Amino acid sequence: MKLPNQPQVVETQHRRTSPPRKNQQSVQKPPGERNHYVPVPLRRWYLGLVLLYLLTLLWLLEYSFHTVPQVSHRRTVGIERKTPSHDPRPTPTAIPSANNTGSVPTTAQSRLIRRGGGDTYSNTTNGFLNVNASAQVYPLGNQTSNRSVAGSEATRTFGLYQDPDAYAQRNPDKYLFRYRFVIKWIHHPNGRDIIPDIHSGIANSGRCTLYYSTIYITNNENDALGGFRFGDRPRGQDDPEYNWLLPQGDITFAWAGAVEGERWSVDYSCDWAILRNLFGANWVKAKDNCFDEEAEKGTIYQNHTKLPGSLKLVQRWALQNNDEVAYTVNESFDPINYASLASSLFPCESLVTRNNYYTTGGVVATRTLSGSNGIPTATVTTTMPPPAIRTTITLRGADGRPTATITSEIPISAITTTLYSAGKPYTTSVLYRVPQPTTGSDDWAPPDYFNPDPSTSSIRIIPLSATSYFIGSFLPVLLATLLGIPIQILNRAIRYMAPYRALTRQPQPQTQRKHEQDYYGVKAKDSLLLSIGGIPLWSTVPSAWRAKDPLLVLSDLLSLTVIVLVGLSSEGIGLTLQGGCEKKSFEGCFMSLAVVTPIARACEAIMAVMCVILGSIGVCMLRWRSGVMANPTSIVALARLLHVGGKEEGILLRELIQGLGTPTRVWDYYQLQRVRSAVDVLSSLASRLAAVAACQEAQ
Amino acid sequence: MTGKKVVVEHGLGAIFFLVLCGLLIVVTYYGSVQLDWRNPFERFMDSQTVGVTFLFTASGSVVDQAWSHFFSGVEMLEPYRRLSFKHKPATFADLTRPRSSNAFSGFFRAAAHRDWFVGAVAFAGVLTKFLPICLSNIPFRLTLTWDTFVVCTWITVATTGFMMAVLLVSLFIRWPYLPVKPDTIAGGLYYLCDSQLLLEGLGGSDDHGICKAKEKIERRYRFGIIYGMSGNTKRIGIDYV
Repeated sequence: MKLPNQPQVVETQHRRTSPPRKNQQSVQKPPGERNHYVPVPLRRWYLGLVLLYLLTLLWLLEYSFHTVPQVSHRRTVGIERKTPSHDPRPTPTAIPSANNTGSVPTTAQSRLIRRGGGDTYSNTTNGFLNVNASAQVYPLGNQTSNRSVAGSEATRTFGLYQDPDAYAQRNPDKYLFRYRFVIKWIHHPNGRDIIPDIHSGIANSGRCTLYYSTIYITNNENDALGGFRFGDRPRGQDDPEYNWLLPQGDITFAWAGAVEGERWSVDYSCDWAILRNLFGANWVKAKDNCFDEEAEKGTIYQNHTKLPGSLKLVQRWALQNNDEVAYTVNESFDPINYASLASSLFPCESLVTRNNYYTTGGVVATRTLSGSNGIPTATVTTTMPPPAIRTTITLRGADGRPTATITSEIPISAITTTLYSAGKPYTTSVLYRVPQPTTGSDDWAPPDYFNPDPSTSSIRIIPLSATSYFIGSFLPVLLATLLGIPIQILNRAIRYMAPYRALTRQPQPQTQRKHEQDYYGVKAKDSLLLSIGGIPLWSTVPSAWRAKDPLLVLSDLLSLTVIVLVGLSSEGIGLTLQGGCEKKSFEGCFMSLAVVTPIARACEAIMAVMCVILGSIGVCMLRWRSGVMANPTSIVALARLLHVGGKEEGILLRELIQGLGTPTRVWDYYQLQRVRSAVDVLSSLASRLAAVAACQEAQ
Repeated sequence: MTGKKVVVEHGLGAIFFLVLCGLLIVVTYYGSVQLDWRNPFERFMDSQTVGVTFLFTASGSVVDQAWSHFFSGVEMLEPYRRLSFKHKPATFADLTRPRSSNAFSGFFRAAAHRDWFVGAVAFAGVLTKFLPICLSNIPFRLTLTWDTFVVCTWITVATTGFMMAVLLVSLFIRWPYLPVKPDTIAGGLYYLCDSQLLLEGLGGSDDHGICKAKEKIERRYRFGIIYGMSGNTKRIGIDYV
């Protein structure tokens, strides 16, 4: 194999002081100016456009932070099973009469935005939303029939969850607040333990019996969430102690047994008659019989002793520390029929964790209205005015007569939400309120779900239209995918041009050469034998490391970050469910476009990284000459590399490549990589092909 | 190509096919059954969390990138396949045909050249661009309309099925014998070496020159065993008919 006197060739081309050759004119003129084909994706304006698009996306996302509610996670309601009924087009429901204006304000009217100042609430008469509820208290002792009498809604609710705690856990937005308490019976009328300890969760300590309970006050009056559970065993459906009482009523309670004795201790110093009156004779009888499982079922409802008069509980909340609220119950009874009650019947001093409060943003009840075609037209939400919600629960006997009334005042930094029907496809208006700081210990300022920063707008209305649905469901991924296309084109162009880029690199100055082969530029496997394909990073990092050129790695990184961006984009901005809807149905909820803050921030970070990478790519290509005259991906373009025109160089190159042999087996060709010197010379020679061709044509 | 490289490339292709197959099965199964939420698969798919959506959307993007790689490889080999037609010698236009930068231009270019196979690959590439959008709407959530879910599911199934069909068809495409993969400069030069093609004027420094050269050269070309201009050496390359 005849090797050229390559060092001299290179030296003459890169030393200005070298003796002139016959084609000196062309040598002095940089060959790159003539042989500088740059594919479109590698041109500056293309990179600029991609960068501009990237910055636009970044700005759009940042803009959405200021226009769309922010949520920490994408609130959704658990799915029992995906069925067509999950379609956000619920079955038509009747328009609720309360708090439904019936008028259809225009979108402009609905866009009333109130910033700062005081709070105004609609439908506020006395500052309280009176929810008159009747709660039927059923006696215990019956294991099976309680559910059936408790109403279909409640039964369905518990049929799904089997447990209010589980329900609340999976639907943290479904209840306004929850408190747990322990009732401690100290005295027994007859000096006996009134509740045997066969029921776990009811700790029997001498004459003091503890009963643990959890109460959920939900916000959906249509779904009676109620339960009264004894026992705190590991919950299972086979547990015979798994016993619920399901009170009926508009206000719904969930009673669940939970040992929270260190938090709540409600000392009940009660008379036996109270228990009898409250829970019925059979209940007491059952207690006397040690919860006799053989108690005849079906008869327990018939012997209620009515509780005359009313029972009133006034609940007050006080902030303690930062996360706990003292809960005080002052109770008063009608003195007429309760002369036998001790005045310290319900002294309570209890704690409830702040986290247990509602997260619904003040939505009491939300209903989705639908047109005749089944498409939702509006969501009407009952308002909940501040500063407290007073709930009155009337206890009734078996005959339906009221026996007792429990009134609760729940201080709540409420949010007025009024949603109107528009007759158009699904217009939803939401009003949010920032909790106003008030003085006094009663201010516990529940976290506002949508406006964590009180300095922002106080009332915000966000209509959800078909456009919003499209934005929430498709647009983020679409935009990210559209970003991926030009980046993929860029990546491919860089890979196509990478061998030529390697071949046209200037040799290192003589002072920096460590090895003799450094003199010849790059190695063959990084230039002539550099494949345009390959797995990202896996195939490019070694080559880039050898050639000290990060362009390929940057390009691969860019294309990989696009994958992450596309994956996250679908979750950055999306539709979230607001309101208190049931587990399996959309009814009661409304969709809202929201920014999921952590994901969206991550997307922004990724896009910022992409901007940096894109800028680095631009910097890498600043002083780059491709060395080829035209698009080198065609066969003719390759042939022109060999077709140097002149005899000497042409024959030389031809011989050189012919010297590679006539491979008849697959691996012959690659074995020649071991002939290092020949290939290195070949690469150096090929790197100058364009220059030589230019010289020859210039002659 | 060494034996190791061949194995690696075929292995990657097989893995890609299996990934597509798995995606197709999962999407079809998930779209056609409605299991109880106690079923772990259904519970995972219906969890409405970031993870499951990210998994699906990102997998669509990965499939897109992998298919782009596949399309690039097919388009690289296509000129050699056309040159190897014995009954239909290639023209100069086939020699000057550059590779496409993306599936969209590749599809139109293939349609213009009536390359049905490359066109099918490019068309699948175009479809794949929209795969992440559909895949992001496949894990069910309550904010998703049932119609959207069904449409996205079956678009995904159709796209994936089409891609798998194209992959299967590619196994039956008759490629010419290529001792060297022409995806490198040296590989491409190898088939041009010692060809009489090089003696002709292949144009000047720009594409305009190529066009003039095309007028001058109205010959037919083929790819196969040639006798080089330097002698009677048999080699594989591109030359005149």
